[in-house]
Amino acid sequence: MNSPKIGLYAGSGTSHSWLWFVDLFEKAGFYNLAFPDEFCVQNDGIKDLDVLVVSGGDTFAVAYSLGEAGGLNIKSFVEQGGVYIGSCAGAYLPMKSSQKPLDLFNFVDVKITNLSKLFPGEEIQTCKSCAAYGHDFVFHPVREALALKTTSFLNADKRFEFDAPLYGGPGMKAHDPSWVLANYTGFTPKTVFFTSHEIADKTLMGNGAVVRVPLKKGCFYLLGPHLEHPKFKQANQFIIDAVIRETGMARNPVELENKKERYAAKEKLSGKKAKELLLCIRRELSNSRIVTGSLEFLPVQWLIGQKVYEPQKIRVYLESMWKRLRFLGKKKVLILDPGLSERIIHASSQITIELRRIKQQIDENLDSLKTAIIIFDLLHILSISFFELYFGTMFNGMDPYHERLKSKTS
Amino acid sequence: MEYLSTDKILIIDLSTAEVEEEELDESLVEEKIGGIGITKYLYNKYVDDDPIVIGTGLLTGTTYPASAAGQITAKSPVTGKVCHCPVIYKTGVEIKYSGFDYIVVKGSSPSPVYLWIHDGVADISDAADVWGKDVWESTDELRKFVGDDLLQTMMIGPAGENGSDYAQVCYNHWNSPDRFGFGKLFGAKNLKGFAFRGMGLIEVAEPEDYVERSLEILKEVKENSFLEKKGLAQILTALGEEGVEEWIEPVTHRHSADYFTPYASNTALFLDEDPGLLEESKKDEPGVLVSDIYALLGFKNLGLSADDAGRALKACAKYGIDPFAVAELGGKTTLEEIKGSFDSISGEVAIPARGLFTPWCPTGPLFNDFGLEGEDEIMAWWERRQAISMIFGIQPLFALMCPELTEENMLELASLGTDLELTQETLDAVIDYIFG
Repeated sequence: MNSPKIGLYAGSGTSHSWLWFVDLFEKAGFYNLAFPDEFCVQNDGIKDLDVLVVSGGDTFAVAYSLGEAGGLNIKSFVEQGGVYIGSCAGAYLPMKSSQKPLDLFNFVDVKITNLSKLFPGEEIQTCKSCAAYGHDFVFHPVREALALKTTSFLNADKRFEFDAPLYGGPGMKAHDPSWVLANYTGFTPKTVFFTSHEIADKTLMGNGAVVRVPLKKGCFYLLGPHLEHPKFKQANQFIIDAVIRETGMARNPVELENKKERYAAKEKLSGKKAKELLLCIRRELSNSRIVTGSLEFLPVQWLIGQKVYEPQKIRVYLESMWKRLRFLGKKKVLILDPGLSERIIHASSQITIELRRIKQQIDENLDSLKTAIIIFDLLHILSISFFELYFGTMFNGMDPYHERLKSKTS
Repeated sequence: MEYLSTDKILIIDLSTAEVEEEELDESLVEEKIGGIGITKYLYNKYVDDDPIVIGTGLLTGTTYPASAAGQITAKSPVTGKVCHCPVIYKTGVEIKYSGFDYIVVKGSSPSPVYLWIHDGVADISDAADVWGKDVWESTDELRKFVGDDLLQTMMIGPAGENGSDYAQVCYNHWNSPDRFGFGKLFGAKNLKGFAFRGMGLIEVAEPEDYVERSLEILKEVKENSFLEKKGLAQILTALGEEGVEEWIEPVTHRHSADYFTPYASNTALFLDEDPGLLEESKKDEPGVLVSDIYALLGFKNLGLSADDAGRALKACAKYGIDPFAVAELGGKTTLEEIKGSFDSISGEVAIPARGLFTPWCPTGPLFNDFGLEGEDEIMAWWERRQAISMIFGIQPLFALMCPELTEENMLELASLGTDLELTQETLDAVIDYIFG
């Protein structure tokens, strides 16, 4: 039995929240992870996956990047038995819309409840709480933690409550009520209101927070709140249970021979070369963290597409790699695809250069948006490459999921 | 060494550009505790390579009151002895946060370099862009390059590059306690200096007990009435110097403290800005931060106005020269003459007792009498107190003020923090080793 192969979409338009999925799956023992970008999705690179995760970010930018080919491949992937998990922006993506390019992704009959024909006006308090959505406006009545409760369609005998944070994700009404696995049921002391309680209540309460839509052999999971957020363990478990429930075992078990072949094709770095690569990564991540720490003191944010980015988001990318470096340092051999080390070295040093550039631009009151766009693109490239190195090295040649199950059985 | 430590000693050979790391063995801490106990050990270990050893105290950068200091141990080109200079402001703690407890610099570089120490990484970097520049320009340039205004530096200026006996290693923009000409040593090695920054954490063996005891000690410390005072001038008044407070008051802007130190012993003088300004100055160089009470007094005694004394101190900080030596040995009495005298300073500054510690610190207790009597007893106490503060990483001026910072509670906190059994006998043996 193999661990399900999970692809975390890390291409254009995604925000840092896919990194939360990396943490979640690693902690749960799902180490068979891949990090497809838009080119990979467009070029049939997801057909071997069991699960495709599309996390938060800018729905329009994700749709634009994936394009028609990406949309068709995602649909085909689900129809043939794949599980799509969309969180926040990833949940909006497959819903029906007449707006381009979202109309390329009309896969599920689920309606958004936080949609308004009119610009919401004075009751909406910040620029983060409303965005044009074609002819309509998506508005976000609250942020932070909300209370959710599972429905009888998930488990008729045992319904349970848990909290999860909402950062612009949808409330949902499903064409078939049995698709709804969890509803929004209440606010928490941590909920931050951008509208009146009345509007927030009307928009969200009793509506779908987690919806599962079947499509031929597979299904779409749409998560309004970020159930993958690292501070919400019960919500995290909901996702893990869903993956186990839906996949059971991998659809495409990898034969031992294939594994050996793939392993043989990898580059192995040991001794001085491995140390040098890790030192190089450490050096550049440190340089980048130091500038980013400095940027966090400055009153700056960038509107990239429909999404507002702050320096704190840069930190999330950097920390996700930084905290894993020491584990790589304990490995005698680094296992990676040919060319990957050069890609990592180049991207990491470029990020340092661009971060130092943006700090100077801000200090001199110059426009820094273009540099910010470059930085977030580079962060995607670096983190994808880094996780390929990390998971390739840490778990190559063994399958901890399999080992875990075996130990449970014995 | 798992606790109160980064567990790393850095060995840099400037002549070959090789960088090595060693683990800090627990047994070495059990034997030498830390700070100058270990910097001296490392100095002796690498003595054939004419090393400069940078270190931190065992308590440096923690919640123990005034745990602000690092140390430089090297052979003074002025005295010919192995001496120890405290690293103050926020620079001492940044050494440890940047990922190394100790740094040994061996040999000489064929061309000017600076060492960029960050998050456990040590880069030998080309100093071509800053060599020839003064301390302020160099620090500003490195902060701009690295993109962080909190970068902590130890730099030399033209004095160190030109081989002046009284060249100082300056910390950030400011003069330091260096009376040993360590700046000349840096210059001879083609070493412009260090830039430190780290975002790491220090592990503590018993964190809750450690913090609780630290806060108890801090509470006792705060009962001292001298903590109502601030700045350099009031220290000089306590030492019996009259008229300093009135003299300096017109240019005094504020007082600031070193890391977690209850007494604000550094005084900022505004020379080209209104000293009464209550917001951040928009001027590039509004004034100068002064930590050297005897240099300040020296310029006063030459008959300078407080404004001119501030300008002389600023010029010394930029040039990277010991302002006390300039005031004491320069023989000049006007600001312009003083500024022109930096390259011709010669003679000797008296270093008290065994000559190990800097007379930047007054050679006796401050604000409290510590129950001492007689010159010999005071001098013996002072020398031991300096050693203690530099073993544990305590701000050395504050150590002279505060009886509540005892050897017993430093040992207690060191044991709580490390889970090692560190005793008074060990401490006495370390002090013998340092004095020996």
